[in-house]
Parts: sequence; C-alpha cells; structure tokens
Amino acid sequence: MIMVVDDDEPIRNSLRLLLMGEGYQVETASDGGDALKKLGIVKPKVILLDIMMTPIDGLAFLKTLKEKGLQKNYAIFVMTAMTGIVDELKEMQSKGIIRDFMIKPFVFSDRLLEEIHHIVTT
Amino acid sequence: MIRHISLLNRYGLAGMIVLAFVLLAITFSRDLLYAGLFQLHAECYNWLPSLIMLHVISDTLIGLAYVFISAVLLFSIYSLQLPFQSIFIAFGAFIICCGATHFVEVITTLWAPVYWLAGSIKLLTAIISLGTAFMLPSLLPKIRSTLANTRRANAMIQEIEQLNIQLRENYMTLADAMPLLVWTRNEHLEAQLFNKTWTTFSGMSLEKLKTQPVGSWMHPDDSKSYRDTLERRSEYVGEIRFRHYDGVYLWHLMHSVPLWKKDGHFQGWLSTATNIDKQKRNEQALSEVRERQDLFLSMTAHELNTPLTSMQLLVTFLQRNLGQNNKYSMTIEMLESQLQRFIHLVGDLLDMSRVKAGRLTLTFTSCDVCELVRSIIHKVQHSTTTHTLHLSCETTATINADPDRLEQVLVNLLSNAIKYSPEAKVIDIRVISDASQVVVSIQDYGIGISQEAQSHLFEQYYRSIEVSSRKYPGLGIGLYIVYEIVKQHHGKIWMESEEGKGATFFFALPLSP
Repeated sequence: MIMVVDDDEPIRNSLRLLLMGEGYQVETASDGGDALKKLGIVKPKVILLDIMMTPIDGLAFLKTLKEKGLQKNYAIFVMTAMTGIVDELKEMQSKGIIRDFMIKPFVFSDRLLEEIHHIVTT
Repeated sequence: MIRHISLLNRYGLAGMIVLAFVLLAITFSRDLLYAGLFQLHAECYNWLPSLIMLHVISDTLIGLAYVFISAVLLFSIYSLQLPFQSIFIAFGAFIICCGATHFVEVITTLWAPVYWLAGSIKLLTAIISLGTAFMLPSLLPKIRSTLANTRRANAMIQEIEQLNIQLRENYMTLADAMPLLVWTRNEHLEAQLFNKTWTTFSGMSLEKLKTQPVGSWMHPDDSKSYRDTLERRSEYVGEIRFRHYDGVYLWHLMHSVPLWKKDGHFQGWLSTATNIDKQKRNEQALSEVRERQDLFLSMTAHELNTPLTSMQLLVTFLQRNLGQNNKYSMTIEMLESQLQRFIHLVGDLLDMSRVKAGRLTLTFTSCDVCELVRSIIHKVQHSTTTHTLHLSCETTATINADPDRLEQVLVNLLSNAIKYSPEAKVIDIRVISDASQVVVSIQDYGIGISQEAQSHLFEQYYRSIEVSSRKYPGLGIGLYIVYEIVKQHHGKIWMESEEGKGATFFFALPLSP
C-alpha cells in the first residue's frame, strides 16, 4: 500500500489515479495530522509526502514520526515546491529519514516507479 | 689656577678646606691656645656689662645664623641636586668660617684671650673667601648660559601652555562641529566634556548633563552591556538607543575608547555616538519587506506549481495507460510538450523573482565538469529531433558548482542555440580548461546576433528586434538568469557572433581549489 499526503485534492486524486493504474492500493491524507491518524489503521510501505500543508505540515509530520520511532517503518518520498529547503531535505536523505525528494512540478519517472515497485514487493 | 679650582668637585673642595685647616693647625699648634700675656676683650669694654652683653649676644646670634645658613645650604645641595655645587660648598665653608670668627670673639671677650686661634680662623676665612672669589668669575659663563636656558625653558613652557589652550579650544571646536555626540569621562566615571550636539540632542545644559548618572540617557535594555564594558575598561562598539529631548529613543552607533597614560595609568573614557536611527529603521523595514517577499515567492511557487504537478501527473497517467500507439498519443505528446513549456516559463519567472529578491540559493558540490556536461547534453539531445549536439571535452577538471543550476545554464543556452538556428543541423559544445578555470562554449550556426543587441543580451527583459516576433517566443529573462547563476559561481559569461553566421556563447567557471 502507498499513502499520499497532500493538502491539494487534485494532486491527491492524480497520484491516486496514477498509482492505482500501476496496480497499487492507495490511501490518501490531507495533512500531517490526518496521515498520523490513518497510520494507526493502515500500514503503507511508501509515503508520498507534501511539505507545505495546514494545519500539520510535512516537517512536523516527520518530526512526530521520529519521536514515535516509526519513521524506519516507511519509505518516505517528499514532494515539495519549496526550493529553499533543498539543503534540509538532502541532509534528511543522508540521515535516512526520507528516501528521496522531488521538486514540484515533477515527472513521475520510470526510475521512481521502479523504486516504489521494489519497496512494495520486498 | 682658577680654572683648576672651578673644576674641582664638591669632595675635592671640601678636602682642600680640611687640608688648609690641618696645615694651619700644625703651623700654629704651639701658640693656638696661648693666652698668657693677653687680656680679654672685656677689658677693652671696661667690663661694662651692658657693652659686653651687646657684643656677646650679637656675635653669638651672628655665629648661629651663619651655621644655620650654611647647614641649609649644604642640605639643599645634597637634597635638591642644585647646579654649581662646588661654589655652594665654598660659600658654605666661607660662611661657617665667618660664624667661627664670631664664636671665637665671644670666647676672647669673656673667657680666654686666644688671639692666635682667632687670627688663624680669620686667615682660614681669608683663604676660603679668596678661593671662592677666584672661582666665581670662571663660573660666570656657565651661570649666564644657565640663566639663558632657564629663560628659554620658561618661554617654551609658556608657549606649550598657550598651545595647550589652543589645542583644547580646537578640540572643543572640532567636537562641537561634529554631527555626533561626543563626551568624555574621567577615571572615576565623572562626566567631563560634552559637545554642543549633546545639548541640542538632550535639551539639557552642559551643567545639567554633567550631573546625569552614567547611562541614564540610554534605553534600559541597552545600557547593561555598556556598563559592563565600563567596568572592564575595554573598548566598546555597539548599537544603543539614546533618549532624545522629546522622550523618543533613537538608535545610535556608540564607540567608547578607554584612555591610558603612557605609564599605564587609566585616565578615563572618550565616547562618540552616531545617529543611525534612520538607517536602522530602514533596515528593519527592508527586512520586513524581504520577509514578505520571501513569503510571496514561496506562496507563488506553491500556488503555480501545485496545478502544474497535478497536470504533469495526469499526463504521465495517460502516457502509461494508453500505450504508445493509440489515436491520442500525438495529442498527449503535444499536451506534454506545451506543459513542459509552461513549466519552464513558470520556473524562469520564479527564478527571476528570486534573483531580484537576492534569494537565488545555490548548493555547491564538487563535480566532474565533462561528466556533468555530457549528462545534460544527453538529456537535451532527447528533446530535439532537428539538431545533433556535438560535444568535445578536452579536460578532466573538477569544479565547485551547483549541478542543477549549471544544468539550467546549459539547457537555456542549448535551447537558444536550437531555437535561433532553425536552418542548421549541428550545435558544437566544447569544454576546455587552463590552470585556473574551465571554459564551456556553445556554438550555433543560426541567425546570429547584431552588434547593437550583443551589448544588451544579458539584461533582464531584453529581446532583440530581430527575435521580438512570434517566430521566436520568449520572455527575455532566460539569459539574465543564466548570467546571475554564472555570477554566483564566481564565473563570467560572454559571447561572440556575426549576423547570419551564428553565435558562440562562452562561460568560464573557476576550478576547485
């Protein structure tokens, strides 16, 4: 299962459409708080996470996951339009907090799909 | 002889006097205390008590006065290090001898008629007074020059005092003329001087200013660091709010310097404060504007990129689900191409805003320049069917650069090369290096650029007349962003072109240290 966390409904729907077309089960959440709540019920292997969301943004969501010691359970891919936090994201990637990040608007590449496929099937 | 005497030091002279006395004592030793045949002086005074008393008291007082005078003289020579010590010693000896003649006079008057002794002392007095008399003329030039020196020294002291007064006046004039607050404190932190700017600023008289406690005119939140510095007696530079006469606190750049004498003794403080209130408020306002600008930029990026992301995802969905050969594949390709064009325009506009706000951030990393250029060209080659991109890499150099931003530079230059050479089939890319830099050149064989346009090419919003048509669309900001990115890499960019023959763009980047 893949969880899509984004406060923009069209993006949630587009990603759901694309990923379901690839044969995955998809759960969506509209902000960090919603995602944390749903993580109590569903167990996705991959989380596609937006950063700029209200009321609980992506960074706060990551912080809570880290505090609860849960972040290792998920392969997290960040999707953001905020180029100003690229350095921060690179640092998180090097520490293993997130798997990778994409700057919006991004092309959902074959490589990305293959990586997700690899995570979900192993 | 006189010259020799004058050259004798004070010990030599004292020795000479003692020697004279000893010689006399030896010569007249048998008769010195002889008194048998003589009569006392009192006989001459007919033993008239009042007359005897008059002489005895007068002689005693004169003798005592002489002894006192010579004692003071000798003390002065030793303690005050007076000049002309030898002559003073001679005078002292002469006066002592004079005193001795008066004491002997008392003895010969009342008790014993030792006239040989009295005569000997007079002889000794004569010798010493003659010696002194001979010494005096030889000392005259020295006395004259000493007096002249003293007069000169006095004149110089007066001149220095005058100069000091003048300097003090100049100092105050200078301090008063300054548009900043200037004041001094002594070692006990008591206020000493205030310039006129102070009275204008504070609305207080100089007298009232001097009675104000230390730091009382500063904002309470700012004064602590200043007080600490005063206690440490170290230099202070800081921004502090000073209370204006109308009660409003104004920002000042304050500088306090501790004053030390050459012997290391602490003298006090000299302080100045420059009014920077306007700059400070401008700075604060500017910082607020920048904050708002940053917020606007990130909101704009978010708002513009969110629907584009969604569109891009939907195009990918269509491409993957409808397959390569369906009746909509051409439409989807056109849709994707237009979407990419739109994404690039939005990207350029956002970058433009970032450059204007000074917020174009670069993440530097060490890159193999040929490898980087090769991978970018590989990507661009995929997006063009009309041109072949020829790469010639003649270096193995590494550079410190932001690979994403360099990709932006190359993609932009290559897109231009393709766009403005519709009749040509080749673009030549060359990478070379020397000891200090790497130079990348992109050469096309297209329409070229006129001389007039070349000088404006890297300016924002500039589009040459030749390309300002619908045939070559664009906003005229691409090269401006390219220029800014190269500049932030501490590199330079330039071009060569001949109209109708094509153009070559060069950019040079410094090698990794």
